[in-house]
Amino acid sequence: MEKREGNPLHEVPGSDARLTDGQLAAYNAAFPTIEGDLATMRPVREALSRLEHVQWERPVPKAFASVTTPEGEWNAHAQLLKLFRTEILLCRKADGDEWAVIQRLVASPYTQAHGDTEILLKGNGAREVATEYMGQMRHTLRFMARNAEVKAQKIVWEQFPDDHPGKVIRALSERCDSVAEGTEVIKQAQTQSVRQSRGIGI
Amino acid sequence: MDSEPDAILTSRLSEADSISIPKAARRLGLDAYTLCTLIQRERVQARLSPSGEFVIANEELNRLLKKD
Repeated sequence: MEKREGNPLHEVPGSDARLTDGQLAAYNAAFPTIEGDLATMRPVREALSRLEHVQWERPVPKAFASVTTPEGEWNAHAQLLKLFRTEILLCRKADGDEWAVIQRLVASPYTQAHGDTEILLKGNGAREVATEYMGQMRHTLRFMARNAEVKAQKIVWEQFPDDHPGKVIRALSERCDSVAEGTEVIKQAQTQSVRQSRGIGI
Repeated sequence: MDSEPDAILTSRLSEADSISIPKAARRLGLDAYTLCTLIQRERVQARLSPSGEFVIANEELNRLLKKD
């Protein structure tokens, strides 16, 4: 174990920071407050990582479902993202060449008031709309990571102000960033078998 | 910062007047990710808590639970 002035320094996941005993205590106090946030980010980041490896010049897979919106019927050709209550589909207009990214939500208090199906993006090509949606996924992941960082910082500053919290906060921020950027996913993927995914030949 | 949605109001809320994004998502029956996308698309208005965390005002949550 690395030491500084005889005191042990600890490694933490997703960061190259080395923490003293006191700093590690601060890290361990703050991390549980954001663990759930990071857990909700991971499936999104994993889906995004799969989409980033799609060869969009290949023919689009056949439609597997139809989706009705106020703008008409669409055929779903691929599932871009599937969460517990959310499904994001890459769709083509049933009677035209237009493409769209469509969100379908499981019935909930929100959908009772606002509906369960919504067109998020429209365009002339599958690649065009999927690429734009991937950009939105990255943007949202950065937003979620930033919010998690703020939550963790609050704990550190309030409970451990005397343990040089700057390094702890940097370690927590880097952990959040590693989830948002997919570097944590890559480490996990090395030990996992290749996953099956619907459509697009991922 | 480019990850901050435009719809965020700069006035800050007391913690009693708001709930966190994960809790708001549970109340609405949404994934937290989906609620964040709604914030970024300016369909939902987020506010800053005293600590700097983006939160949802109780008033906004009630609006989201009602039909337009």
